[in-house]
Amino acid sequence: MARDARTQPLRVPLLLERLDALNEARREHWLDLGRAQPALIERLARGPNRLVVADFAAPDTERGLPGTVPAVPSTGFDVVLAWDWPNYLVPEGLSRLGAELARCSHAGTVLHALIHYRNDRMPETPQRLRLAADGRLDEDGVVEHLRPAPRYSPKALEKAMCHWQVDRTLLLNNGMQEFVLRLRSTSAH
Amino acid sequence: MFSKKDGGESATDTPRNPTAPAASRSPGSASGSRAAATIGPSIRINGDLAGEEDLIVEGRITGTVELKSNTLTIGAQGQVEARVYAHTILVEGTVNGDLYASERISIRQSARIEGNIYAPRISLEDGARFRGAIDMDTDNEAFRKAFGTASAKPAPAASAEVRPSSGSETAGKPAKPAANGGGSASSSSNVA
Repeated sequence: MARDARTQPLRVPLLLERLDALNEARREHWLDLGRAQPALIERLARGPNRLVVADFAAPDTERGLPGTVPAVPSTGFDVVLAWDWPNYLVPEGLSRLGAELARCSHAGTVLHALIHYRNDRMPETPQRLRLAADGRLDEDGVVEHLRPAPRYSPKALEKAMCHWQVDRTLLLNNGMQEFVLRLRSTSAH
Repeated sequence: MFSKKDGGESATDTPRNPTAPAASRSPGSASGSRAAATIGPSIRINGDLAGEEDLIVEGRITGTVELKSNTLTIGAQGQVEARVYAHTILVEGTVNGDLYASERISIRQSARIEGNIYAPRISLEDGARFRGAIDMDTDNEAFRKAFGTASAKPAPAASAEVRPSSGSETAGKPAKPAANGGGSASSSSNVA
């Protein structure tokens, strides 16, 4: 993997930008599909925010979400963190994930994801990606096996996740592409 | 920022004594002058538990726990299926329920929590498992119901802990109610 040769720490500028934009006057509802992360909690605690941690270990390849999202706010989430999940979903799974997340979102909700794009191989299972206090993104664990990466393009993502449209993308130094998608206003519930 | 000894917390201010007998007193209360009571590993309580002294739980509690002016430590062996109200809550064990703290909730690496947590300061060590909502806004109805008023917001001074720094309210512990002398815990529970 190109990751082995990486010398620069991995950063996720689009996510950091969103976190930096948080302010004390505005309350946001965030959903993290993965496990609880100290640094993310620390960042969100700078304002009167609410973070829901779903604590899912991995997505279901075909169904998308492996369980129900807890504590969904009545207004829907403002930001959803999907990390590297989309890489491990077939298009049907992506479609179901997109639809499920749309149900607990509102028009303009941001979906953040990381797609293996430059490299055609990726870790066999989703990595535990953790935001560090300095804004670095750490990947846990040793990658023993690789598998082909679907290398979803922005168009492929939008096609599979029809409720969402790609807002911004950025190619990261490890070959992953950082995606910010927004829930289409016509898909809001 | 979230190291095990951050935020001034250490073994000295989170007293634990898993081998202590039920309802024993262990030295070094988190709130200062009094030793904390301990619910030992073999004790099970079903019902409502309230008190005005620090408490360490290494046993099992089902119901409601109210220690609104004191520290509750759920030890590594502790299992709590309850709605908990306390001044400070330290979790090393297992919780299934909602936690409300007027000052701080610290979640240690060994903790397993399913429920919602409400506190002006929240710290979580990497490796801790949590599923639910973390609400950093204590100026809301749920918090007012729990503590009678919104929590004092922490001052914007540097800290190793998670701190929402909204508002201009002053930091610090809410005033404790008048001492009741013995300060012993009361419970309408069934102790098994």
